[in-house]
Amino acid sequence: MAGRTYKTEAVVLRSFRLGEADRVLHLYTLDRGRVGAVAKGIRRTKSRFGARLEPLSHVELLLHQGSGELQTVTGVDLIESHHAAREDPYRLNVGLVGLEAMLRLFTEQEANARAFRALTRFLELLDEHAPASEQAARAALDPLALSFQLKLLWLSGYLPHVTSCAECGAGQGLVGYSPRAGGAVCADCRDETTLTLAPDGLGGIEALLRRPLAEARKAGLSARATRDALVVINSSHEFHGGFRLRTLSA
Amino acid sequence: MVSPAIDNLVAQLTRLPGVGTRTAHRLAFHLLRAPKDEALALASAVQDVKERVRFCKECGNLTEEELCSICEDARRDRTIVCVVEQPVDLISVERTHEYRGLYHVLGGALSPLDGVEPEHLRIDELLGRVERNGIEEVVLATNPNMTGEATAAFLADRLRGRVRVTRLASGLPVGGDLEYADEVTLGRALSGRREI
Repeated sequence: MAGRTYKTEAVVLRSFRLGEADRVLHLYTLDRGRVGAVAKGIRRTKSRFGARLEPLSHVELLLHQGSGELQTVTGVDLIESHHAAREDPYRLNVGLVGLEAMLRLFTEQEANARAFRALTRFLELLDEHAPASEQAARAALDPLALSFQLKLLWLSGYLPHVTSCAECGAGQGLVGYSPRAGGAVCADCRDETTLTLAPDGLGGIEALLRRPLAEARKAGLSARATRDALVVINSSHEFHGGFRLRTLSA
Repeated sequence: MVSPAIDNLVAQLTRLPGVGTRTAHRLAFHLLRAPKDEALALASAVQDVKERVRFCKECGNLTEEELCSICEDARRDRTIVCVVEQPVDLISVERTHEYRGLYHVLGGALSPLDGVEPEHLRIDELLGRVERNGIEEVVLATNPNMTGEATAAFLADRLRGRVRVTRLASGLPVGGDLEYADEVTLGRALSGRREI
């Protein structure tokens, strides 16, 4: 059966070498969600695709779907290279955390336009922040990274419920987060698996979820709230997906 | 299919990069048809490289001695070190005949997504060489892709203040036409333009 060619917007999540000069790309596409594709000859210096298909790149692709599992890249137009984010070590690290979260949470070939738009907005914001120092970078980008990951949990159906007890519905006296219950729990409902969180932490997570990505910094997270948000994200990944993000420990 | 020995040869050849089953069959039958000494010379060459070739103690290049021919060469400029990801990159730089310094082979590039961290590369050895050997300049010649650039940025950060750190320029391939250049490479060529 002859294959067919289609056009879609995509973000390159990851790439690795294949054979002499090719690369396999993990893509998140607007029209089909997660797609794997081969970019032939991309590693040769004469390739016009190479620079356009680096991780973080937002592109418009022409993809050919044959009978195999992997599709083939037959054309690339660059929408945004995000080279500013790629060339700054701290911004690159934050970007890689976002890409790995996408890789782990969105594994199916199933379109999710909101996830795609969240990803492209996250990358745009990474480009816009040009911090003068690592301290400034942390202040600006850590809330953005946390906010993006919380929104991905929401879009993939694992949104932590933090406004009332996920077990009994009590609105007061929340003391921790239970990955099993999928949200905050009160003192009466906590068990040995509950992670203790400060009221500041629960408030911070709620503030990050309520605000758009661009306003994540305005959530005014304290150091404790930042730590608690990260604990909630990590434990949600572990409990629901059975993974930890490698890039977070890097 | 024909004999277990041929099947085994085909299976071993298929493990080589770029060799599929059809090519492996062609190579296997070529070796069967070839004179015995010619076929055994290939087997012996494979055995020789596996037994004799190792990594240079100083730079990580491939060598049969303790130090590679470049590290042993007294005519080389010992104040400058070019950092590459793999020995094959070193051969590419050597082919330019533009560089007369020493090398340092990292053994890969940083890639947190693949679990490649600084301790998996020969970074401490590089810092040790810079500290010990009176090196004045380190040329970062990692690949111009995301992992290569991240590695270069990491090394530049670690070396800053100790030594002059330079990065290979990015730009247009010689002999090509401007109209065929991709926007990222052309943008880099513009931002890195020089006065003539």
